[in-house]
Amino acid sequence: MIYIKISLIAAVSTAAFFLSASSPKITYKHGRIDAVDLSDKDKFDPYLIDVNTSLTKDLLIATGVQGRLESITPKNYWRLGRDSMGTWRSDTDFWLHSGSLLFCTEHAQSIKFSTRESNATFNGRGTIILEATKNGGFKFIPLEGKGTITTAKGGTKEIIGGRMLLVLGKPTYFGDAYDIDIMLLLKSSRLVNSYPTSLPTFKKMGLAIYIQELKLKGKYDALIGDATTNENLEMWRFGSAKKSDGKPVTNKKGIFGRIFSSD
Amino acid sequence: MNTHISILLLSALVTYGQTQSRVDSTSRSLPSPVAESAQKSSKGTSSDVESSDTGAQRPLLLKKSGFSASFGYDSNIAYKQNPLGAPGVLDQQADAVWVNKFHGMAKLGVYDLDSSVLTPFVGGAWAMTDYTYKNSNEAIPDLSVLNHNTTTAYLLFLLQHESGWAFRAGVMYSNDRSVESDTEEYKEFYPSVGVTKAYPLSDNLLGVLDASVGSHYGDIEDADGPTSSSHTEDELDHIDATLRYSIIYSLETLTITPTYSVSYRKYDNGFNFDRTDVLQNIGVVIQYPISDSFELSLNSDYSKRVSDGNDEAGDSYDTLYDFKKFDLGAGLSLTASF
Repeated sequence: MIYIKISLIAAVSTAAFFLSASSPKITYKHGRIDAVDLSDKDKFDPYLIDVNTSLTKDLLIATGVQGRLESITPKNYWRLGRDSMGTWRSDTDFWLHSGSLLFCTEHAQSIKFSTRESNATFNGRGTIILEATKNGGFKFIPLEGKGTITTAKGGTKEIIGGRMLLVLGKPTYFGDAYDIDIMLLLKSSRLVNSYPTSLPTFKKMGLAIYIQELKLKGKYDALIGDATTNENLEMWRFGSAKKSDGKPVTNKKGIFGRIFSSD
Repeated sequence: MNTHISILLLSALVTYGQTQSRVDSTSRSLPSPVAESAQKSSKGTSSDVESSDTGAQRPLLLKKSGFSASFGYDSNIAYKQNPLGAPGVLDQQADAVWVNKFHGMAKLGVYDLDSSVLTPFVGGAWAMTDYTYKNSNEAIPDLSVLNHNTTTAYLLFLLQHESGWAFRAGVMYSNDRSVESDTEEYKEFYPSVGVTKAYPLSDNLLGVLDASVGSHYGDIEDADGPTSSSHTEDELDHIDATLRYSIIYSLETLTITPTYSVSYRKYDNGFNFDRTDVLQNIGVVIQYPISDSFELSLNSDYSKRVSDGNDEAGDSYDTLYDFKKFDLGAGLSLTASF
């Protein structure tokens, strides 16, 4: 009897190990996607890849101008946006060179995100967009979720739906945090909308929008751009010139107006 | 001398009867924050942001605590056919009725419970209702003797679930006080639970389904005194179950909201023993916001009540309580939030 138990535990442990460490596969692609096998250090020979290609740790994946891909694994949803480049070191570890990435999971786990200069570990579950910035770091944008993000020099922070964190430097630390309009981001994000499958966390995103609405004091007539250096973050202002004093200029609208309007 | 006293007594009895009829025909309910939010904000502002992979990142200013409050003033003047809910035909004491209301509400935090969000509310209102009907041939020649002030206060818990359903539970206190005599005409406690679901029907149409169940525990002057058991102070107590459906139609600047509701009410005390009512209402509200805090509106509604059962004498309740009402009004609303 005890041998059966030990065998079962071993089998489950082995399966769990392979599930966590296995490479994701492309489940959807659109447009041109190239890959370069980094294991062969003597040559740099890009080639086209298609659905069902395993995204192994040696493959550098690059999407074209109209390219995008999705990988759905038993636990995770991964989406790589256009003009993006990165490597799946495993189903729980992603390196983003440039462009943007969406990660979504309903299962609490530990995920490593890294870019050219920075890296951070996310512990928890949620729907997160990563955008590589010119300074070598990245924007960490949780649309919803529960958990923490940890960096070497910045310590650990709890994630909050809609609160964007700038992840900077080497050793990595946190830059400024900004509460951003989740509703507007959802409506305008191709990583969210331009894929045939819908994310399983849409209801939780709705709740995150609701919380934001309940706490809303105002909106800035500005859009956040790239972080060109660790000290500078681009901010694009829109609306009337009179409203340029940096104060919130648009009063809040109700939750359903924001969800269902054409805003 | 005796004639004068008799007239005064008769007048007092008629006034009492009218007051009871008015109280009995008044619908009191806890606010539904989700339905109100949907109604107030079904329109959004247009900002043509281009799509990108990540999406537009517009910074917001959020409160840390989630505590907020608002107060406001509403004024509504309406032409009302049968404003007191008298039984019988519609065209009774057709009157312009002016209601001025001061109201306030505080939201006591936002509590994230993972798959739902809990928000407690406290609020209250003070409303002055003035009647203008005058007819020397009526038992009450000047309806302004029925002017009254209504005070309400409530505590409400709203649980917004990620499925989109919003559940609420709360208790409301309400009382009506006569302006003429400065006496309390009626008071009640109303514990209630409800559920609301709002969903889009198209780009500019939003459907809102709302259901609630509650129990009214009231206190009205005993019509025939404590020595008789026919009428009692608690005879207006009843349970109610209400189903309401609204469609919110957003035009450029207008919001048009037609609503239909049906309410089942069951009375079991005193004179109203074993009485059941079905109250149906169909109405429309047109809102025109001048600014974020100032709004004009037009409203109209038609109500019909059908009562079932018999009193102690075997007389059918329908002759006493069946009514039809029609209102057509205009109002303005000022609200400040902080």
